[in-house]
Amino acid sequence: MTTRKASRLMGAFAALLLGLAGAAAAAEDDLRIGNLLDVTSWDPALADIGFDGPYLSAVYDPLVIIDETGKVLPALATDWQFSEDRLTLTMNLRQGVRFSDGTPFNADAAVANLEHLKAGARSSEAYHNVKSVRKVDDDTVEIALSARDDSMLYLMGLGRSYMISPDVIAKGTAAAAPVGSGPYTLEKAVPGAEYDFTRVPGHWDAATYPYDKVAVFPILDPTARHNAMLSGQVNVSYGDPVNNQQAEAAGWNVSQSPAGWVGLMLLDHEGKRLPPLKDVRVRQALNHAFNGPAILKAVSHEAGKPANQVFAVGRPGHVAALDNRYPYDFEKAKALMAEAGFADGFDVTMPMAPLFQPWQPVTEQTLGLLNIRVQWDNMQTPDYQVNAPKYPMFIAFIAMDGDPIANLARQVTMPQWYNLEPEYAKFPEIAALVEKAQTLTGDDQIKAVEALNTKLTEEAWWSVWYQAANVYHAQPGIRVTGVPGMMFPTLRFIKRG
Amino acid sequence: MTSAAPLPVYRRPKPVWQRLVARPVGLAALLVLATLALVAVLAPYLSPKDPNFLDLMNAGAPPDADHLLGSDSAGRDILSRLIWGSRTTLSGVVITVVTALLAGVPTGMAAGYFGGRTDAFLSWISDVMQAVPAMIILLVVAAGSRSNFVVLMAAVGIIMAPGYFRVARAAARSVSREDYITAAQVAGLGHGVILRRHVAPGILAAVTIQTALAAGIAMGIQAGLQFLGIGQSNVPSWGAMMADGFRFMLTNPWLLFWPSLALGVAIAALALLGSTLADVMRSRSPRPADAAEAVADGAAAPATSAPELDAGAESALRVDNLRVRYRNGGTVTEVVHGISFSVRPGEVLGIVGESGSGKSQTVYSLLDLLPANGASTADGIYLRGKPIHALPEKERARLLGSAFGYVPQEPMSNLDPSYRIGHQLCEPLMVVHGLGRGEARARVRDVLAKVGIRDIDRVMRSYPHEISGGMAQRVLIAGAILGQPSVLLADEPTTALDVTVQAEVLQLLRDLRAETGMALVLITHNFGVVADLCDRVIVMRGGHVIESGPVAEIFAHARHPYTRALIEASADIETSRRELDRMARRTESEAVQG
Amino acid sequence: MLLFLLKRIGAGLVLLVAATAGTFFLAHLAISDPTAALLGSTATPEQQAALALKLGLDRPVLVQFLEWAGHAVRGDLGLSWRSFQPVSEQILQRVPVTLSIVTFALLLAALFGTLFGVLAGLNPGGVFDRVIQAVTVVLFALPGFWLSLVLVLWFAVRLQWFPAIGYVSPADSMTGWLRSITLPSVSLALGAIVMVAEQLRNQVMTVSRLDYIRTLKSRGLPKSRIRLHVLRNAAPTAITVLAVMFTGLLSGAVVVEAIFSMPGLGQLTQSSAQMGDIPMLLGITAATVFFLVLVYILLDIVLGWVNPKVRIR
Repeated sequence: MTTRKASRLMGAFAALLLGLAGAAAAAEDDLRIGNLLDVTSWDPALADIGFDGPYLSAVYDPLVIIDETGKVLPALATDWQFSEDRLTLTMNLRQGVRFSDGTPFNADAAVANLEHLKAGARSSEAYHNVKSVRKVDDDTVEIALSARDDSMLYLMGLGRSYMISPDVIAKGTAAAAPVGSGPYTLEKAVPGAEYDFTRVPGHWDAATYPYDKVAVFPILDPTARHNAMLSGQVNVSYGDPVNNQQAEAAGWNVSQSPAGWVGLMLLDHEGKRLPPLKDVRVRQALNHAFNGPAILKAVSHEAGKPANQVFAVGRPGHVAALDNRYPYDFEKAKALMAEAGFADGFDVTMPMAPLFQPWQPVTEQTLGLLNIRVQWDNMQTPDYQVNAPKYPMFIAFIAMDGDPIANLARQVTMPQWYNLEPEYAKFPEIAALVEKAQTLTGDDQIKAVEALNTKLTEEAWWSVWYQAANVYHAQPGIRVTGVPGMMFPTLRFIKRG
Repeated sequence: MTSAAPLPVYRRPKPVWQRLVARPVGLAALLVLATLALVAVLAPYLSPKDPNFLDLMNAGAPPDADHLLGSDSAGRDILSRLIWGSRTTLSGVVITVVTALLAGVPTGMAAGYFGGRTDAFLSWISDVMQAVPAMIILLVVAAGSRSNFVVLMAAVGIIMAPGYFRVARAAARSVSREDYITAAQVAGLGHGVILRRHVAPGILAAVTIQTALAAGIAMGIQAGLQFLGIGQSNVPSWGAMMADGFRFMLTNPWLLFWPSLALGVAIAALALLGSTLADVMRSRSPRPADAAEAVADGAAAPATSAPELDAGAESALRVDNLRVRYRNGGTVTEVVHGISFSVRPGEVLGIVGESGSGKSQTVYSLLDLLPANGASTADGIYLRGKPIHALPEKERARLLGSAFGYVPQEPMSNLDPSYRIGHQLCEPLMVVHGLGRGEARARVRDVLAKVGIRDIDRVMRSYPHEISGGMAQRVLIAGAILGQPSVLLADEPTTALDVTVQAEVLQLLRDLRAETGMALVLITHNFGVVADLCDRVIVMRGGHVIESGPVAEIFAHARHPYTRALIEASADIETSRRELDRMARRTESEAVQG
Repeated sequence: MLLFLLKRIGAGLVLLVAATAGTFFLAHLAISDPTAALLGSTATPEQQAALALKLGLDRPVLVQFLEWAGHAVRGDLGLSWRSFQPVSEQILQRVPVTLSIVTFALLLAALFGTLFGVLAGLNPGGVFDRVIQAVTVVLFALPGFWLSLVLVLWFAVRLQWFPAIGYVSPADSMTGWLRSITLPSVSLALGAIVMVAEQLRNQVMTVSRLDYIRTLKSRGLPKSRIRLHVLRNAAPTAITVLAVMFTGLLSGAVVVEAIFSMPGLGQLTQSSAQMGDIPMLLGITAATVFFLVLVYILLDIVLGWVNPKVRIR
């Protein structure tokens, strides 16, 4: 077979696929979602925010929601008020809402739910600082906090405040089948394959949900998801950026939203385990050495934005000027290394797992050019989360939050799997900025976060190469708006248009 | 009586590899694999680029003068990665196969050779290993060894060991039942020596074929693991390249095409090598016995052919210048070199000779039942004066069961183990002779009574493994005379039986001949039997008739030393057949050397 | 026969214990701390510690296993670490899916594999035999997922005859079920067909050369009857090959289920392994081994019925 002949064959093959993908497109009344994983659990206390959104938001109403910028908006809680010391939160509840088993939603139900969520293995992350929950009257509850917590409402809105019938909580059957007050009810479930939802007549927020029927298909394999899109079996899916070009050629709507930053997590700013990391010039060299935009193109297929900071592009806390703070400049990197006295580089051991292999070659090569010799410790992905923070630096893909305070907490101040012992407090300048950001409110707070962000980026606290995005493909007539913090957004973010 | 025939040249069968390369497919497969091995070894010199050098700006670039096959998704040179990938692939396969061999073959040999509890225990372990999900094992090993390539490939080898275990066990089992192994045991050789010296060579063929296939499968599994992302991404491998290409299948199919092609060609070469090897070795292995034996032994022989023509009298069967040839691979070997004889109705003709002298081949060609790679020609074969050698295959087949009856040598291996004896005997009567079920059964009962079986009902209800060897031989004789043939061809009908039963069966044949008047052609190596039963005898050796005449005359004045040796050997009826054969071969090789 | 069966069942039980114990300890070796993966990337170390305590991870591995085994004997396979739902429930939900495609694939393999194998074996070296050999080599050399993809792109995406992904329960729609399992089963069966065909071809060739076949021929039986005898004697091998194939198909289902997004045991295994959901992995191992033991006992019974020699023993 000659090359030209083969090329033509391949070309014809691709054209054929593209052609019919267009043919499958038509405005539809049903929403069929290709999600990336099966529902973890129908119990909101055990659910995963990342990708359970489409399932849970169909059958449950949350107390509060967030918009795509991370701003908290009312849902079952119509309004709320913090006390002066920000240690008491009073919430007014929507009236006239009933769960699908007929039980009314009221303060008793809300209290039962909040206590259930606070005790939940996964949902408790939102309620760390909650001391107690109390019914004030039939449509008012009061949440007492042991410490000020500016990210609680955001996390509740992200998917930690879904209300279910107090009956199933009492019976302990929350995980078995959904009993909620949401815009849809689960009509049929084939676990692992398909969940069909039908509209609940007269839902208080019906206008937000244009589709009468919703089906969610968990499809783990990206190629299978793409095939399902091509064949028209689903009309919205979590996309693989590799196929973006093809999707756009087929007339699909392709949307992106910030998912997380990609780069090197540097954990040893004091230089206890890896002395060179103490020197800011070494850390800055690590920033200049990596060609972020090129890696974004080659590995993430342009799904994302070049950036050198850990606050999501376009969201509060992000400082546009910082996005080119460390342009790719290898000579400068070498100069900085030499200045710091590490012209000959150093030795470092880094962990490696399959999930991070796409970035392994470029890391090895780039560090190698700086004379930094890397030894890799290979492990499975689940173990990476446990072991990675034991290394002074490692390749990371860290999720970002839309809310600046929640993001600040997860990136800098709170112990997380990737940052077991936050170091910020040992650096007075940074600690002061953190303090300021945590105590101010409103616009002042955002300003303080921006100042902290600038400082951290100047200090080269991490080596951020770019911010990767979640990608959604949708048939014409459907638009998906991504939300930072969710890999797949809830149903309210999937609209006609 | 003696005519000069050209002295056949003794040809050793060519070694396996020679016959392998003689076949285009085998040669091609070997060439592909050799090329691959060469590329793997010379990778540092052949590779145009550093296979790991990233040129992010060049990611996914199409082929150009600098990158002959283009660049992958991270801008690495595809050709260089393919070349280095062959190194990874091949070294992985070697590790896997060696591990599987070491783990599977000795255990399989032990299980097959010792049998009993050893076998039960080892087989059980093999079963356990197959029942634990391989996927989980590999995931776990990958985690435990931190994706160490050598350990992972060895783990794949362990997972594949049961395949070797089964092959080695089956081969060792069949080898250990051969007489020479029993003899070695009797001779007091230790198990270790027997395993190493006698069993190991016997299973070599099966293990070699398994290795070609296993290597192919190992390549597939290895690629599969790399495809799933298990392994190291900083070492170029075909599987990892495929995983990369898979994602770009719709936008840049070449990324998937090249590694798939390399892997596909390599695996196909191994598969073809395996099946060609199997073909080549099968045609050399001792089974099917007759064909191979004939080829192996049928060479060295003094050239005396005895065209014996029994003109005057009306013969029941007359054969003129019968030749039998076997095709093996590219070579054609003649194993019966133009023999002639005839037999009158009611007469018993003995054909005598050691194994490989062409006796059985003669019978099969008369029946037109030579194996697929055998063929016979004759100037003439006459059945009661009627020429049958030129008849079409179908008409020849019609003679079976009615004109010719055939009594085979081994009673136990000549009855279909899956059918009751009654069924096996009634079937030809109903299908060939058109009898009804009742008639057929009645007839079978008659004939069974005639061959001296008393509890006829039980025998008819029995399966072959439920009756004794002597009984089975009687059943086979019954089967041969069911259709009242005019010529009965009996191929060593008593060899496999013990002495008392032998006498009974010979008596039976004598009675049957007297009763039915059919001609009897009796193949044997035993002059005792000849003396007992035959009227005339022809002596065969190496596919030639070396002597023939009335029994009394031959006994009295055997001219050929070989005939005399046969007669002497038969004097002691206990003398084993193998001993006789060995003796014969010795004289033969002396003759060749001399 | 009864004693034989009891022995088999006993061996099966030992096998079950060995396999689950092996999986348990290997899994614990490999996944040192599953809590991080289970809680997701937003979990705090305190949450992980709390979960570890809840799952009983603080106790010795042997104690954990014995406890698990104690419950398993009573049919309680425990709770999944991921969903906190009973493992047995989820496995039972998944079994029909895998069983559907594996059984259907096995049927296809039995039908076409035996047909092709017998046709090729009865006439070795013939045109048909050569074609089968060629196809065998091609299918052997092609990586498994290739075929599945071609099938999806052609029949699901291009022609839209079958769905590209998913599974429909026969309880909901019989035709929907058939449509949903066709492509996965066919892609699973293709490899199996050639393997069955190849082994049967060899067996038919071997049987055809056996002494008793020649003896049967010598009695004048026509070719059709001879074939019957050949096939009858090749049958035990065919049945064994198919039973072994069943195990192979179960493994193959992992890849096929991923490509067609079928909610079967394979998908469950894969995601559980990723998540470090050890109870689920154990449950799957136990269920698979139990099932295989059952299949092999059934095989022995069938073989006894088909093969008179075994029947007596």
